[in-house]
Amino acid sequence: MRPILIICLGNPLMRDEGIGVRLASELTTHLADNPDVEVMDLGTGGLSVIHAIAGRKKTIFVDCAIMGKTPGLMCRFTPGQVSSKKVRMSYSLHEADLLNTLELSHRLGLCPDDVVIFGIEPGQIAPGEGLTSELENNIQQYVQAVLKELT
Amino acid sequence: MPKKKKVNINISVNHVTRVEGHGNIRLRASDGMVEHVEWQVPEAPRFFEAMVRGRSFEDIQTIVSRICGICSVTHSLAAIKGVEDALGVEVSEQTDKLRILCHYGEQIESHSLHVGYLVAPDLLGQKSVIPLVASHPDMVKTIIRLHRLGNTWMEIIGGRMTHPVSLKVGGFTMLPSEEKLRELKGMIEKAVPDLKTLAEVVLSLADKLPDFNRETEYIALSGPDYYTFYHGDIASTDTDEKVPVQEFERVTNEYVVAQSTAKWCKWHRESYAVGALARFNLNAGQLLPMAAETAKKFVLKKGTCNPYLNNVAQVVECAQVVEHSLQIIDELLTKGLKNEPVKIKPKAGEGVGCVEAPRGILFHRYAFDKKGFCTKANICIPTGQNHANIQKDFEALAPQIIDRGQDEIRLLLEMLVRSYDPCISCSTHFLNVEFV
Repeated sequence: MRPILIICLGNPLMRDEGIGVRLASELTTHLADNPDVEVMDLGTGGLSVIHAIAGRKKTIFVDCAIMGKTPGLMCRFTPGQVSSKKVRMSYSLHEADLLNTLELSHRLGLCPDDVVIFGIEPGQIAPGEGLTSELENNIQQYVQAVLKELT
Repeated sequence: MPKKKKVNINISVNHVTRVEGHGNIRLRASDGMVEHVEWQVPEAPRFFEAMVRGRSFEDIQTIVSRICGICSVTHSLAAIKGVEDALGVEVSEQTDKLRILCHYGEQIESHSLHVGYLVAPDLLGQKSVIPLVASHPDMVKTIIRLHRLGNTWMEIIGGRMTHPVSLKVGGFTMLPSEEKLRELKGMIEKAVPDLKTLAEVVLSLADKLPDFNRETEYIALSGPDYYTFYHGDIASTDTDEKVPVQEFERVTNEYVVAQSTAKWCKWHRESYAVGALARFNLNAGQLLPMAAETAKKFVLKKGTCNPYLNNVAQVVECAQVVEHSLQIIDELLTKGLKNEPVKIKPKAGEGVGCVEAPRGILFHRYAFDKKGFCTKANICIPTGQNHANIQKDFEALAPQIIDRGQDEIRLLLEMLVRSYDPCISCSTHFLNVEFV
């Protein structure tokens, strides 16, 4: 198991919701020779995050995040710096909230001490493939920001 | 029947956004009489069918595996089977067995998560699983181990823990090694005590599942050989007729209602139910010994029509898929795994793939032109097939519980929805945060 995990989340069939998955392929290329880092496209795997991060030294999440910022802006934060605005109905396993999942992981003693989230403000979340230009034009900037986190 | 108290009730559980999609519960009662009760699904249409049109037959499973993170193996397999049906592709016994094995990993993951993370908090009087980490640590750790088993299982056969990459039309892009299969077998055998613990925990709380019964038509795949999630024809508890999956529209009869953006379904009655209880009601006679013994402990019998017992049927199915998986792995290892290169020639055609998702029967229909590009797609998901039945359950249940008080009524209605293990809001998992 590699000590550092970059988990990229999202759905490439929902426009900018797929930014994490898009960055997974970019980051995989950049980090192919790095023995300490694993890049994982976890898509909409939700609660599987718990098992993916267990035993790691550091985990970096890359995900679409509604933060009330300008579309395309990437923000770096830790779970303690934000609170979730999602109202969970708990009807379905399919309802996922990363912050809630991290809290569960933490209580189970499975969460790494070092967790960083890179959230990217979407321009559009709607059925369809491809990113909006606000995000597409910034791909290399996002990649460099995540790579810098490893230094 | 006890005399009803003359109470006024107004319950309105609302969805948050159309993009994520949720279900709303509405109930209005006056003077102890239910005036209106409704299950609404305002989920936005997701147009996945439109996204696969124009795409090559080789790309379909990759695209549809993204429809849902929990049912990604199921969607992949339904698509692959639909494409193979359209192109006239036959697969080997080895491929068939490995696919069923992969699918079982998803069943274990989904069922154990549903029972442990969503149902157990209801039965233990908590809002979520998080407080149970402190109050019931052993139970939560058991669920976590079963969940991890499901993840690892799908990674070994499907190539990764969700959105599988090794399943393809005709066979596999990459086979697991025999060593990995033996490793998986060891993990499954070690999980048997955890499954027994899960069953004991649910059994100890089973009296908290509401005693509500409504005559219901149940629909699932059924076949002559084994308790199926993958092969067979469409069967109903209302008829002896078996319908080939290629004719699934004759069963689903989708229609539009004002209260839901998702289509509803009906066959012999106003609604029908799919899922673990439907499979049990149709195929219980084919359960393997450990699953049959689990059903016996719960006194779960064919013909059960209490929707809350879908959760018990899920526990029974966990035992079933574990037992069958061990058989399959032994059969695969005895024969030895062989690479089976497959060359597929595109041609014009139309086909249907049908697989039992953890939450019920799933249909995919595709048509292709002579170059193998998709010209038509139709996906009919299990949760869509259950919506009308949830509404009919609400209509029958609400008058029976109207004197229980607003909070308990709301909880019982929510528990009913949860018991169906619905797949809503599954296509988007973005964060929605504010900085503190």
